[in-house]
Amino acid sequence: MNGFSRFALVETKLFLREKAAALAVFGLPVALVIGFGLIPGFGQPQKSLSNQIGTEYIAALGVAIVLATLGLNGVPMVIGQYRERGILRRLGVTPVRPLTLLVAKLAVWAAAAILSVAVVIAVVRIAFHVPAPAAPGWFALSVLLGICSVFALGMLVAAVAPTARSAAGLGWLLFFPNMFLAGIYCACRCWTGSARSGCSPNEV
Amino acid sequence: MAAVIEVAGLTKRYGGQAVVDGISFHVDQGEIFGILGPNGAGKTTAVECMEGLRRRDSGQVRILGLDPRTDGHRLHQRIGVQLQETQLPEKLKVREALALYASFYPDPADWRELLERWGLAGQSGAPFGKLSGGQKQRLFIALALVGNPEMVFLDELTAGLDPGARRATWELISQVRDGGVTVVLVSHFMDEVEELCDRVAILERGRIAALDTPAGLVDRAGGEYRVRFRPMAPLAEQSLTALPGVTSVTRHGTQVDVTGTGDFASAVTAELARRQVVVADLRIEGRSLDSAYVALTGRTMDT
Repeated sequence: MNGFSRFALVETKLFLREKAAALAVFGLPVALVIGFGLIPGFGQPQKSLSNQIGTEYIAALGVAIVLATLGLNGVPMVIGQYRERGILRRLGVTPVRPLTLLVAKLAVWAAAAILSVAVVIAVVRIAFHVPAPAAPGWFALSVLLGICSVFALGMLVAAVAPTARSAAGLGWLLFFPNMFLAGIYCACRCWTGSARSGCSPNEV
Repeated sequence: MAAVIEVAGLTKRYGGQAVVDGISFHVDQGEIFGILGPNGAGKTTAVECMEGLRRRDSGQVRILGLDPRTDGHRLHQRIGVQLQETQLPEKLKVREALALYASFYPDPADWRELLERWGLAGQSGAPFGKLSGGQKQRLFIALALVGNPEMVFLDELTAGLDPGARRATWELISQVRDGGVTVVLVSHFMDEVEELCDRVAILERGRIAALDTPAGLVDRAGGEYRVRFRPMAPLAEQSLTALPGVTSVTRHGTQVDVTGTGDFASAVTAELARRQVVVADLRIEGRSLDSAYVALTGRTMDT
């Protein structure tokens, strides 16, 4: 086993031992889609959502929230802790590069995100008959790009924040504008002008 | 013996201020070399330049013949390091940490045996976050040794250990050295350095203020011994003042303090015996590295 796979194994164990994190990644989006899915009539096109089907919209929302929570809250906080506790420094005096640990950690989290997205799709399909994404290839690509972009933002926060606590705080500061620009609070197409151009690439 | 560490003119500056200011020394194979000094003297910075964690600004450093600045990877396969104030992930178990670190090295030690030797066998399955301060410290020493290193850097070896555990740790470090491993010990505990180290460099404001064996430092600082006792019969002070080596005799109530140099203490006890004066509470206070440190640097450790 090389350094990367050893770290990946250890990081997977650590991820599963962190019950709250595992619950947030898998439990939150499923609870969200089930909760909204049970509202009577939510399976019909919704006027307020420009005639999008309610459960479909919430499924997309669940996916977006998983990615954003992991990338903008999880990554800065945990990488910030690894920095603050000298875990990366300690690896700096072993034959293994600290970068290997960082990449393994992000890979484990990305795998968790992908798994969580798959669970959401399965739940809404089985429970509420929401069709699977029409263009699976494009959907997968957009999920991967989404993971890359939020993880990159998260790593940036972890790199510039002086402590784990401030990294977590900064992550939250980014989380809400990100949700806003993704059209959580009002759909992008009802926006005008410059706001719309800033928002549409992020739309859920 | 071959030098394991050669340092010449090592300098590290932060914002124009030299934190380590041109220090030079060498450490021989199988030595326990101490770096002693108050907080902020540059001990940790100097050692981190040797470990390859920090880049020196100037000077030469060779560890096992390798330059940590350019040959870090090869160097790290052959050295072990215990850093000051590091942690592990809270939920990582003790045996997982040791197995993981063992896997980094080409020829690791048996980590189960290390677990036994460092008294952590009972904590094998415990997560790092649940360990006591002393157990964490012992785990970090074990992690420094798990790669079967030719030399180890130990920074604040016994921080957080109780007196019993400190003694036990000193004993184990002596055994590590007896196995041929060279040890660099960064410390601000006099007793630890005096007990363990073959040679000591006293660092002050980034420079080496003195470098010698602990006994050599004590001798160099000079100073006097003191003999204290309570005579159970009348005693004329003049009879002691005249003895060779005695520099002063003072009386505090019933207690007599005699200071002097050389072998004056046996002259004093012989004189007391000759005069058939029985004494109580006899105490001889030797010179220690502690007082030598104050004499050599002009200040106490805590300032």
